[in-house]
Amino acid sequence: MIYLEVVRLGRLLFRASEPWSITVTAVWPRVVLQGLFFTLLGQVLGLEEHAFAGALAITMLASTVVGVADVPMADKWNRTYSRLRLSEVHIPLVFALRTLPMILHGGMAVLLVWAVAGPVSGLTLEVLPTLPIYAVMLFSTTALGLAVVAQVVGHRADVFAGNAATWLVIACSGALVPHGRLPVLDAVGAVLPVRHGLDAVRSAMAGGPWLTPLLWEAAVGLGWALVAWLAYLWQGNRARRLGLDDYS
Amino acid sequence: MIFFAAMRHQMALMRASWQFLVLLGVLQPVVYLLIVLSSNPTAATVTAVMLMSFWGSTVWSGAGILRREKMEGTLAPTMLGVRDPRLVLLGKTTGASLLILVVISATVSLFLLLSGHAVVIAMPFWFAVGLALVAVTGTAAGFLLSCLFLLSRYGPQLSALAVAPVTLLSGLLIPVSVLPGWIQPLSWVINLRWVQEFLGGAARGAPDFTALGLGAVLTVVYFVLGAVAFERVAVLARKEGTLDLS
Repeated sequence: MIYLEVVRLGRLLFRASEPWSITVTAVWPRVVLQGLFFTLLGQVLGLEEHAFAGALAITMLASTVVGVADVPMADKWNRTYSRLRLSEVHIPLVFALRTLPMILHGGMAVLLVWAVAGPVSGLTLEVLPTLPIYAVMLFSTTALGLAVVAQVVGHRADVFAGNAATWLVIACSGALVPHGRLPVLDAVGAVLPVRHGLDAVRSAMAGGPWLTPLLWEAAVGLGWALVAWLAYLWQGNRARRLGLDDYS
Repeated sequence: MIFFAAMRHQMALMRASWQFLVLLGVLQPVVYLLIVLSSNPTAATVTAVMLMSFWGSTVWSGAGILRREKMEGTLAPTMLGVRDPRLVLLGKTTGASLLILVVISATVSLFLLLSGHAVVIAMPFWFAVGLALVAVTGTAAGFLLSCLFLLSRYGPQLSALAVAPVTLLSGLLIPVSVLPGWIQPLSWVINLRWVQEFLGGAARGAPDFTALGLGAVLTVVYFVLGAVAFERVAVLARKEGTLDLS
């Protein structure tokens, strides 16, 4: 029951920072325009379906990698971080449960861009069967976001960290920069979310095998989730030991 | 004098919060360059990347100036000070535009140098004139948006929304001709479109002075709209007392 309360609180916090009126009038139009931009940019560069699949993945990053930073940071700003340490629910689990609105928001963004930019790319139906793969990417990018913000929660670098991670994912995932252009991007992309997920999407669209890259995407997501979990636990233990837990 | 003091102050603030400079002035243009530079880049492509990055930076840095003043509790003293607050805001937006333009230009130049891409500017003087207009354009846009975003509690969401239509409709990386016919006229009121046409022409050796004129006129229009928006902010804050200054 307490877990449902955490989820409910996460939803309330999310809606307090972003009411429906702003979601509908500012956030969704931005999502659609951004998706159209990346889709059209891909067409101009001759990337075609390569770019549309990538544009859908990029769309979710603002909600997941960047957006989830607000989950731990809200407790820092409101000076309630230390209270969380007294909770019977582990801090990493509290944060994970509170990210559900962001994950749903990211999923909605993917669907919106698919619905609007899909006809522009002419790939609406081709991409439709691959949409469940994006659900795995929602999970893996959220895990990255939580792991990244965990490293900077004691500093004033949450905006930088989340956005820098987003640009890194865009550059290294193959969303718009094809594999093989720069070996270093491919190497970094292999341990970041989205890269393997997009491989799965593109392989599925071409009628090829998609399960192995999808499992890799899930593994990368689990890896980042583990990093986040350990980071928050370590911070909690350190805060209790050294009295550093108000972050003010 | 207050103008230059505000400009220097804004630059010092941005240097202190170097993370945003890295994010907006380095990472952003580098990723755009990685996306578009599949072959030998043209000068027009490079200037488009610069302007794309510049617009995103203007919205996040310049347009957030008043919002940041509000968060830090310095907006009320600025609005009620002896000096004209418009001069302060103008100085700060100019400082933000100049600094971010320098950082973006340095990043793009270094990237091209390291990646072995050469871009030839046929008419450097007119290209420099175009870049100066870019800085003024950023100041005007920052002035206008800074006032508008202060009027809402949801500045970050509105800032993000402001970036998207310009990147899509301005013809920077996506030619206007690719867009549906009924949307294309919207690009006429985006001054970056005309600045980009002028910069591209100057790089090719055929500067389009009509585009330069249109870009300059639109920049003046942005300034006028910014002045009107600022007046509204001032009335709400000082006369009606409905705008929270802290």
